Amino acid sequence: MGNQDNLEELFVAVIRPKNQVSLSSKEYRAKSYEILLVEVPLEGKEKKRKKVLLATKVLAGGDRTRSILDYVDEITKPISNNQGLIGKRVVHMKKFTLNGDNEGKEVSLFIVPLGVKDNSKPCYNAGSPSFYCLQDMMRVCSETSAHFSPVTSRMLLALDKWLAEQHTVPHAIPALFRPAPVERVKTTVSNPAYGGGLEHRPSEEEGLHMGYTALEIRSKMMSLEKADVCVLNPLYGSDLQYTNRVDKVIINPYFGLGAPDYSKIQIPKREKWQHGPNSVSEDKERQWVDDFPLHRSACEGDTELLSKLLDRDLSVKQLDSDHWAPVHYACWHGKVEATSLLLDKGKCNPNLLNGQLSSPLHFAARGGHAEIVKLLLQHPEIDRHIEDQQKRSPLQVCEENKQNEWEETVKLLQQANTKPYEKVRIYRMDGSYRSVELKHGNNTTVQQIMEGMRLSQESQQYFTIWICSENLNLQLKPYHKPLQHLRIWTEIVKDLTMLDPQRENPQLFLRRDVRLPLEVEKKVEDPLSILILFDEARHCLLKGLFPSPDSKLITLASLLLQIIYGNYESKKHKQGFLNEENLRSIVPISKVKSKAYHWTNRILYEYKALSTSEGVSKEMHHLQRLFLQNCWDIPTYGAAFFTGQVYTKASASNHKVIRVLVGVNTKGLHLMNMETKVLLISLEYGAFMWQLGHADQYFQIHGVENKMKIIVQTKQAGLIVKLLMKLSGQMTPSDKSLSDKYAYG
Amino acid sequence: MFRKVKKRHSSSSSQSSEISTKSKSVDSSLGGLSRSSTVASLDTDSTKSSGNNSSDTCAEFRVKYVGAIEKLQFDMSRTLQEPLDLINYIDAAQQDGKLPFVPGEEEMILGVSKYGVKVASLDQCDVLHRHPLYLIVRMLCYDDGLGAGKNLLALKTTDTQQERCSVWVYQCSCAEQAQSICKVLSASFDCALTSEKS
Repeated sequence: MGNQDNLEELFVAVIRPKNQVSLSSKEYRAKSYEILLVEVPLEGKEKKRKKVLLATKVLAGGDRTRSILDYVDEITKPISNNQGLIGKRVVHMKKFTLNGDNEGKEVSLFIVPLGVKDNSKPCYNAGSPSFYCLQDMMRVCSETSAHFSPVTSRMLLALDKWLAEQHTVPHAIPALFRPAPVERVKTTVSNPAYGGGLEHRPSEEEGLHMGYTALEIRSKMMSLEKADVCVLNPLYGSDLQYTNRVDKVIINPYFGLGAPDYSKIQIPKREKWQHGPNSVSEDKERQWVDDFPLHRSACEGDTELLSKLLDRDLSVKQLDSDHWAPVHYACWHGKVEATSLLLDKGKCNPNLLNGQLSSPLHFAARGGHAEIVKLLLQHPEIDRHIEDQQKRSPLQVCEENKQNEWEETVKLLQQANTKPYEKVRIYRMDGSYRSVELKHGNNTTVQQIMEGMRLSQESQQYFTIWICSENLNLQLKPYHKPLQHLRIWTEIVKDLTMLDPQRENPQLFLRRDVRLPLEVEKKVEDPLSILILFDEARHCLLKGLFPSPDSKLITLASLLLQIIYGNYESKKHKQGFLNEENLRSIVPISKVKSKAYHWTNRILYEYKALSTSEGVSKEMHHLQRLFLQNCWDIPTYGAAFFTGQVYTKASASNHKVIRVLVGVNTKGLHLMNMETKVLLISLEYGAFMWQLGHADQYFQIHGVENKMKIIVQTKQAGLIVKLLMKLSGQMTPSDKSLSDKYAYG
Repeated sequence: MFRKVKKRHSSSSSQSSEISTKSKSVDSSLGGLSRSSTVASLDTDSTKSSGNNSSDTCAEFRVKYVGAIEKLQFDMSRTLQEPLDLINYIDAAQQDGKLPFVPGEEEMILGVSKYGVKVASLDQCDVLHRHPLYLIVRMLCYDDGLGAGKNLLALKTTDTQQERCSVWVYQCSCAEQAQSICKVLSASFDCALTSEKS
């Protein structure tokens, strides 16, 4: 809009009411108003003049209101005693599009309302505008009227219409002619936080916020908006479903019994409110009764229920929410029959610890339950020296508490100390055994049993305790408690094999420690150690666990003859001497029927040669050592044997399952066919790698140099891999801490 | 016509007297949030002289709401810096029909405190407008010029980015009330400067 020359052309309609009354009239009458027009000569006709609206040019983008009011002031000076008329305001009425020369150009019409016409005599000044009655003007005004310029005509018509419209709007006309803002403003308060506000403030108030910039003030005010505490609902937005589930229903048990005698009703004391009948602890108790029926029946001595529950195979080892087992409740509460039932029928471990490491004997002794203490002490597996977390013996606990029949209990506990210990048989591979005292009942460790074996300090390091049944042999660690392994052998067998646990009867054996290096063994000179090693080697040989060439087997057989029968006697040891029964005791069982008959001559020949050889000592342990010497180079010597299955491709279409023995020793890993005892493969450490399969259900072996790859399916895979790591020297200290729950310490 | 306004006591300065007159002081337990309290006429001079006491005071006035012109662009808000410009702008808006000349019938409670201006329904259940102190640019009191001597209260606020401004127009019941509101707001500005947020 006129931006090119920065001046905007506009028209101004200065109007004023003739009197005050017309302002409040709702009806529009043009005669109530006067309008300021200028007369200009009509072009071409000297005498004729036409009237035009005031027009001026103001700076575009400037303060238009100010400019227009100044213009009106200036132009009206000649007609009002040189004072000028001050418009009240400037109201933009409408934009008009020009015709003719300035076709298409838009100009605005502004209305400047003035105060009511005063009574001073209007002075006419040629060339200056003067007021005309609006009604008179409108009467002669039309688009083609010669009295006005065309633009003025159009604008006057529009003004007339606009004023009529304004009259229909309540307050519009009074508002149009209301005093100028400067006359109406009363108070202004500005925020010192905003620029320009400060300069308007009186100087005496500056002290209040002296030193603060507007920004500082603003931030001070903002800090008022900040909350000191904010609490968020933690559940908001958590998608927790609203439920109308009832947590608890309390029914007044007296409802319907008529009005109570209020004088007899007492309000419980405030302290008791918390521990009311519906408190949380009781809820917990109820939950416990539901969750731990065995515990509860033991606690209450309900033997009938207890017996039924035991028939249902509920675990007597299960700890409840307080980490107690049923036997602890029975002992704590002095339930003799329940304790007895748990120990006998439930086969509960009499030394079972609760979560706080207290034993049943501690509980019974604490409560002075003499009968139960007696029962426990009679149990063959009881650990009478058991200590609790504070290292107290049951006797101490009993004397500290002095409950019930504590004197009787003390006596029982003291007597028990003089009684001989129960013993356990530790077998050797030749079938002999030694009975070892169990000072700690079934808590006695491998270490403690080894000490009881009365072996020399030296031989103790060659051997350790194994737990063996027909088809599962496990070496125990020093801290293992072998009697507890015997207790749970069924579970172990189920865990590690597919065998029927009923057919596996475990016994404890003294056997060669699988970790014993051959170099150490070769230096053994102690006759007893040699004997034990020999017995084991012979046992393995006869079981077929030492796959060897015939010549080696023949040599070993002849050595065994020398050891068993002494020197060769030609009369006694003829051809027929080596019948099947005798062969069984010198050659592997797998060879007895198939080959051994053909070997008899050679065995006897070597036997004769050995007996007659002067260079060979006939001392028993020398001969046994000679036997061991011959065994040492057998790949599977000193191995721990595991069982597993290997799938092979017998033909293109069908797979064959081979049951294998997995031997692991300090040399490496060896696979043998379980039936034929043929050595399938023998791998030394360094020549192969292994990997434990998913869920410890199999392991893989890869050749390092060839593409060999074997997968052995076995539940013992975890044990095998751990032993491989240990014996190959790969086990790091941290791995050791993960050591297995059963074996190979 | 000068309304009695509710005045709240800060727990620090007035608690003791409260307790001496009432057995249990609801006010002190609820701090500055409580509504029911002693009713006292607000004297702006005393507000000033009592210093921090006014910090938790909320002066309340009954006003009527005329209307608002919200979110004016920045260049427009610049031309409205002078008070007269603001009145001119409001006048023009009224003439254009963008703002009514007179307010609706409903009365409202306009509260002024150091936190700013809050306009709520008579029962104080609904808060219609809240103008935080730091967003209030100017308050202007002027005659509406329609002959009845009514005073309008124009409040110019800005937004947090200071990009736009809004103009809120309320009608006061009388000239004195309008003056009081301006004085209390002025005191609030001073108070915001002198009080440390604890």
